[in-house]
Formats: sequence, structure tokens, C-alpha cells
Amino acid sequence: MTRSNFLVAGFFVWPLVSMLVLFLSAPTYAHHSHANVVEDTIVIGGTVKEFEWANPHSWVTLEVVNEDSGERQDWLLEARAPAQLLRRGWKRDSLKPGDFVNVTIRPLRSGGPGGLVRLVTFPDGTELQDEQRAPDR
Amino acid sequence: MKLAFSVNFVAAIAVVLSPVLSPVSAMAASAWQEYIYDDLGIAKAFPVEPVRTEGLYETPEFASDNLRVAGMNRSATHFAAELDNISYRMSVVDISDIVDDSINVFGECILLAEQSGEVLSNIHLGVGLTGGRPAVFGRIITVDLEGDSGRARTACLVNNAKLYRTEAIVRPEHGTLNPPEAERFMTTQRFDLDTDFAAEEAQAIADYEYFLEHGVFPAEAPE
Repeated sequence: MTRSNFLVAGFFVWPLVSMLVLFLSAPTYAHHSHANVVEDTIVIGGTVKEFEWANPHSWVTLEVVNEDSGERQDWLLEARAPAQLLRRGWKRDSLKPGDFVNVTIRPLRSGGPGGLVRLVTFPDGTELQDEQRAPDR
Repeated sequence: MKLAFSVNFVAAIAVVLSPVLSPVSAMAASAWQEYIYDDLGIAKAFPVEPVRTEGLYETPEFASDNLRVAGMNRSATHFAAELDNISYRMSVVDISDIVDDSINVFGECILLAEQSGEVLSNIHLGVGLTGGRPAVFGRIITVDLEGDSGRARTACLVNNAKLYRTEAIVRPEHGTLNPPEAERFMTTQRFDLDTDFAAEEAQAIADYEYFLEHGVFPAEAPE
């Protein structure tokens, strides 16, 4: 790369790359940003202990049993605000204590037992989406 | 007969133990609640009701070319709650008389948090990203405190001429330094205090019913 090409790259390419990165990482749907969770999702299965239908966001406490050790651990999972969940077909009683569900989450960056709900799947295959696009006002 | 005895025995045990166990169950259930402080312009969730006090927001002197404010000693409103070896705190500092220095007050808040221990992360925080209002941006700094005394997460936000500093300090006695409750504390504040959530939810139900009938949401429907 010649010096002039390098300068062109510096002036035009990197700002564009930076804008693209900012665009991709911009939280376009949530009450708050989610830099505290990683992008890659995992699936955890467990029993619902509590579903808090609350603003500015809802919370699911899921009791997860470690298959290897048998240890039980509560995972605290953040979901959207009620108005946003309602637009995705959720209801206040969509999750009841005792329900066994698989939950696709973006886990906490810290490694703690928590994350951001993306999808809830019931044993009969019924799904509750939290990621599915719906226009939020 | 043997089965009946067993059931009665278990029932008797349950009756005897219920007064003992019920507070445990109540403790296990979440008691998070949002508290709205109209006078301070913020709604903040705590796991137990915090104690509110009036006091000072004091910062030490630094030698920093990047900060025009240092050694502040200003009146502030403090909130403190304690649960399961985690301290939850919030301070609200009026900076309306030095509003031109907001960015420096904000920077000092971050710098102080970073200097309180070994920095593990410093990530951005945006609040109020929906609803068509200007969002509020800040940082969350996580540090391991000196002397293995725990892990502190500090959020710094500036909005409407106020500094909001929230902090969750997890002590080793909690069992883990990464409890999700500490992360929850960092992200559960809002500044849109006049939001009518009931109206929003009623609109959301109507929108979803429209979606079920037409396959699109009203906002996406062709004219």
C-alpha cells in the first residue's frame, strides 16, 4: 500500500468501519444498553421460581440443576418491559412457578448466573420470543 | 393406617416448622422494588427499601490535567441498602451551579471508581433507549477492592445537572463475587418518571391483537 492509499484508507475506511461497529453494537430496542452480556447465546433448562412482570424490565428467576454435580443454582434472567413483551405475545402469567422451560440467553460477561432472555421454549415446543422484532413505541 | 400416620406426622411437622420456614421462604422470594424519587429525577430499584440520608459528596484532590474539578465537597442525597453481604448504594449530587463542568464531574466519578481497586472492566451504560426521549449515557466500572475485600461495581451517570453514582459492593462472604443481583442493580434506573406504563401496556395489547388479525403491526401497516 502506497502512502497515499494508506491515507485514503485512514480517512475513509476506518471511520466507516468504526461507524459500522457502532451501528452493529447499538442497542436499538432496549431500555438500557447490554454491554454487560456477551453476544453468543447459550441454552439453559430449569424450573421457573419467579416471574417479575415489572418496569423498566421483567425478570425470571430460574432454578437450574447442574447435570454433573447435582447442584442447584438460581439464574436471574432479564426480559423486556411488559409493554414490549405484550407486543411479542407474552402475558403476565406466561411463566408460572414450577414451569420447566429451556431459555436461550445472552449470558453475563462476568460469568455470573444471569443473562438476557432471548427465547423461552416449553416442553411441548411452544415458544415465547424476546428477540423477535416488533415495533416498540 | 401406616400411611395415614405418616401423612399426619408430616403435616404435624409442617405445622410446627411453618412459622420457622415461612420467613426463610419470604427471604428467598425477590423483594426488588422500584422507588421513585421525583425530587431527584430518578426511579431506582433496590432489593430492600434503602435508607435515605442527606450528606456530602466528597472527592479527593488529584493531579489530573484532564479534570477541571477535583476535591469536591458538595451536598448530596445518599441511599443505602444491605442484603446478603452486598451493599447497594446510590448518591445523587446536584451540579447545577457547575453544569459546564458536567463532563469533568462525570470523568472524576469514573476515575475514582477505577482507582478504588484493580479494574476488571469499564463498559458503557445507556439508559432510556426507547420511548423517543434523549437517552442518558454513562459507564459501569467493576473493580476488585484492595485486600480481597470484595468486588465493587460503580455506575456513573449525569442527567439534568445531577450526578448519579450507584454502587454495588459484593463482599467475599456472599459466596460469589459475580452475583446477578449486583448486575441488576447497575441497570435498573430510569429517568422517564412520567411514563404511563398502564397506557403503554394497553396500547401494546391492542397492537398485538392487530398483529394477530392482520399479520403486521399497526405501525407497519400500509396506508
